Amino acid sequence: MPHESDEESSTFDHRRLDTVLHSRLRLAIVAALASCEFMDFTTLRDVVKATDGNMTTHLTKLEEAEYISIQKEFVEKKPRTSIRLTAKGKEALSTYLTILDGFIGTRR
Amino acid sequence: MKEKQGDLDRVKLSAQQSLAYIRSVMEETRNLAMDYSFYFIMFGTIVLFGTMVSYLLVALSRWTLIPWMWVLVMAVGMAVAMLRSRRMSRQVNLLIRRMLVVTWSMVLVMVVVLCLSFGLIGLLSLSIALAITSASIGMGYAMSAVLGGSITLGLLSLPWWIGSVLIPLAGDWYGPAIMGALTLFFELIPGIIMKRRSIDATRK
Repeated sequence: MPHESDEESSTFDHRRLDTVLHSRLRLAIVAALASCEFMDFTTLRDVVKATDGNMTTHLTKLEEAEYISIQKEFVEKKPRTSIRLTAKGKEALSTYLTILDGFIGTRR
Repeated sequence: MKEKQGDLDRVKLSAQQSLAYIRSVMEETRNLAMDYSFYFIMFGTIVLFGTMVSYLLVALSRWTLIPWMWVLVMAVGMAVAMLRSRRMSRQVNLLIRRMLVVTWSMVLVMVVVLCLSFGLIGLLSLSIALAITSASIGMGYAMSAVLGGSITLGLLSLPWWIGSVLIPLAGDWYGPAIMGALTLFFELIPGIIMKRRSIDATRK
């Protein structure tokens, strides 16, 4: 049976936080995508206030973690990149939020 | 002991900041998808233009052209709104946005049908057609208020409903003037305010 101090320290253990989402920009990308069905690259970049280069790096990491899916297509002869949150991404954000709530001692 | 308490406080503060940040990003996305300012300004401008042209046509004794002018003006507005909506739905898509598009499309179709029945068939007088239009716009605002959870939009529906009573009482001469005033104060000006707020929010 764990001691009270052990329980307390496990509640505040930062290692429980998802390292993929612990980056501020990746967290912003996932939060923005959680509020809609999909978003195009340019709109998402403007919402999270990032540069093209930064976005590409972080989107690749999120895609590798299977948190987002990226669809590239041509609409009226113009390239369009649509990004949406996957079920795994939604679950990861939900878990992340639950842990944050645990840190500040509130229930959602 | 004090050091550990300090660490916990820092973690709590950081968690609170992260939650606030997530909330702000989500709010911004939602606002982006629910920015109606373009439609307010566009329809406000074309209805004001239509009202002024109506009076000009009356002055020129060209009564028969008035309904056709309204059909044309509303059809142009509808086409522009549809193109804009199509473009926006490719940028960011939300269920609530689609519901709002359907709501306002129904209002627009009703307005065009009213213009046609007033112009083509002569079924309705100008003031009655404008009164039904005003009531339809009020309904559009009320439904948008419920869907988007916006008290402002709910309040904007009230003057349009009051207008739908006042316009027939005012008759065919003053009715369009009331419609123009409603459009100016409860569509165009709120649209400009919304646009300015949206630009300010983007700058932040």
